[in-house]
Amino acid sequence: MTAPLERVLRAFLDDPAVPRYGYDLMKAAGLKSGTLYPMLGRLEDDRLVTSAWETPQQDGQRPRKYYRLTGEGIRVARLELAQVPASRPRAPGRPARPVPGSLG
Amino acid sequence: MRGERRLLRIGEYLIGRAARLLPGEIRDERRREWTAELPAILRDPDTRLAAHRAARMLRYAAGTVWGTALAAGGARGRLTAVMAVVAGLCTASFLAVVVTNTWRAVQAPGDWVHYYWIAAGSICLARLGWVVAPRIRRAAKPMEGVREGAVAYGAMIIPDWLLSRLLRAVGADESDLADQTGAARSPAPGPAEPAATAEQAISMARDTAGRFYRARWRPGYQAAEVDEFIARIEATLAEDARPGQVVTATDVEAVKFGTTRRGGYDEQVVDEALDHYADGLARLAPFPGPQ
Repeated sequence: MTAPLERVLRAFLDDPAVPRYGYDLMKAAGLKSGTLYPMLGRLEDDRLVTSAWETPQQDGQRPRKYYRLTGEGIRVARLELAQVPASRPRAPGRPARPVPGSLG
Repeated sequence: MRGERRLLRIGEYLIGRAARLLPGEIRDERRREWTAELPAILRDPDTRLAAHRAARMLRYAAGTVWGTALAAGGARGRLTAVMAVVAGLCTASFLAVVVTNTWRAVQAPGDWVHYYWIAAGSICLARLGWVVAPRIRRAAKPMEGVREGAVAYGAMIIPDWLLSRLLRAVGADESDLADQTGAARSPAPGPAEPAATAEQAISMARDTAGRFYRARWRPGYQAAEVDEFIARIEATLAEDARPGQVVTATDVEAVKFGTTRRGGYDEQVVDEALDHYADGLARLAPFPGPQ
């Protein structure tokens, strides 16, 4: 499993019942839009994630698309994450591989 | 927020560019989804500074262009365009050689150099036709055949070292070259399958190692450090490592690399490859000798 996918699955599993929109997932997983949306598309194709459009609350508000893990998605995500070594650094954002202060 | 409307317009323009790269059946839906996020990012209460919110919104919109441009279809299109230019330039050069030397041979008959060039140019043109014509004949659509022919001819005449650089530059890989079926070109849907065996995991990582994408315009890992560490992993996996050079899965998970502002290895690609290596190392039997 790739590190970005792992972060997305962890974000979903924080509360599997709560639907998440794209920007929310980007913040939670520390990913860029160019990485997240193709991944969500593939998960949706695999029926691990389902999506639905929200009902606008105000006039002129553009509806957002919300994503949620399916039952199968929750099962697969838990199974896959259980195989990830616990010692691996998995903070949101980049994994802790760059040496601090080494940029430049 | 001041200038919000103008910022939104820029964001919508970028998303429009991204959506144009997508297949027709999902284009409108993606555009609606991405566009709906823009005002939310601009008004995100978690981000205090307005300039930060604006930058984040623009980064989001630009990221959609990046993500769609690097998808398989986009990479394939760019590769075709480059190869078509290469094949077109070659055709024009061969034709020019044949025509000018024929003209000179008519003007000054008996000079064997002109005949040599006419023969060489004709052979090159015939070779090009030999590669392109059958593909056009076999293809369901003529333009698809031209594409296959141009890519096949480009792959044939461009040296391997240059071809691999070209593929990287356009975000494509070898599966985008000609003589692959449509199904083979498409990336496998769904999350990457976990490697069933250590050999499989190592093989997956080896496929990536040594040809990491360079992060041209953003920070990336120091290439020399990554190469050196990967060489140590490879030596460990081959049970060829000197004492003190053996790498364990824990080392791989804990490794830190220096970064450079431009031209380093893409961090995400390297991290993913290291994940495969860590999996492979973890599944191997404990290494003999000091660690």
